[in-house]
Amino acid sequence: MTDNLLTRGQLERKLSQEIQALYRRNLGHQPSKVTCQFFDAKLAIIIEDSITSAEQVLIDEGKNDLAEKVRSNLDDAIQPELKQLIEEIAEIKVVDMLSDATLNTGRTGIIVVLSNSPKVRNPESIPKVKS
Amino acid sequence: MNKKAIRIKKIESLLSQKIKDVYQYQLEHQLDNVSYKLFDRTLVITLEGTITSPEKLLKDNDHFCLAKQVREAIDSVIHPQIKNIIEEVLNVKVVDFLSDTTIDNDITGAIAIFEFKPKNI
Repeated sequence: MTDNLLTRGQLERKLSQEIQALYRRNLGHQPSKVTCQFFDAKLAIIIEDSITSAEQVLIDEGKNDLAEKVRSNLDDAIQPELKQLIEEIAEIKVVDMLSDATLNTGRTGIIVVLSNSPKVRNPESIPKVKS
Repeated sequence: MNKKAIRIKKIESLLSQKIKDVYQYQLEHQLDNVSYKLFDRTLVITLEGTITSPEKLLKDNDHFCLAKQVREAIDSVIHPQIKNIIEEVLNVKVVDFLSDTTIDNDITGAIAIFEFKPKNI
């Protein structure tokens, strides 16, 4: 049965590709890189080059407050679909999502709190957090 | 336990203490738990129990929007200090610090991206 499961790396790569596609679908802009990393019952997502051209125009015109508001609202709008995507691909319930973006670096970081660690072929490879 | 593990444990303990102190001194608030995961140039920190009693009271009395505003203001004061603590304790330059809090789940998460991988870990 475990043979049908993806390895941790395969699952992380699949999620990264699907998240990249989700951004392209919704914002018409493809981030240059999406990194997913499971640890314990959490998933860290780093999205590089996540800022759209429209937001970049606002920043270039000195309208940083508006650009931040736009980014915050875009993140809120994408979050339900992102949550559903993670739940479907990783087959695990999402308990919480913490998200933030920096306009000047174009980077978005998301910490996803899961109900459990995902089922993968090599569960021992998922690092345990220290507290 | 090898030397590296001891060193990491010591660094994590110092980070936790300094972060807890910030909440204690500035907000008279005690955190439940602080946990870390380091991936190459990225440190992920999860702080549990970050929401203060006044914010909980606001939330429980149908002033969720105000509680959210309070939280944003608190985070804007506290989070740069956490970034500084990370830079000081790990002796790294943080080039990006991404953080967020959810009031409902009483949890704060932060992702610190370093310029280079820390030398001492």
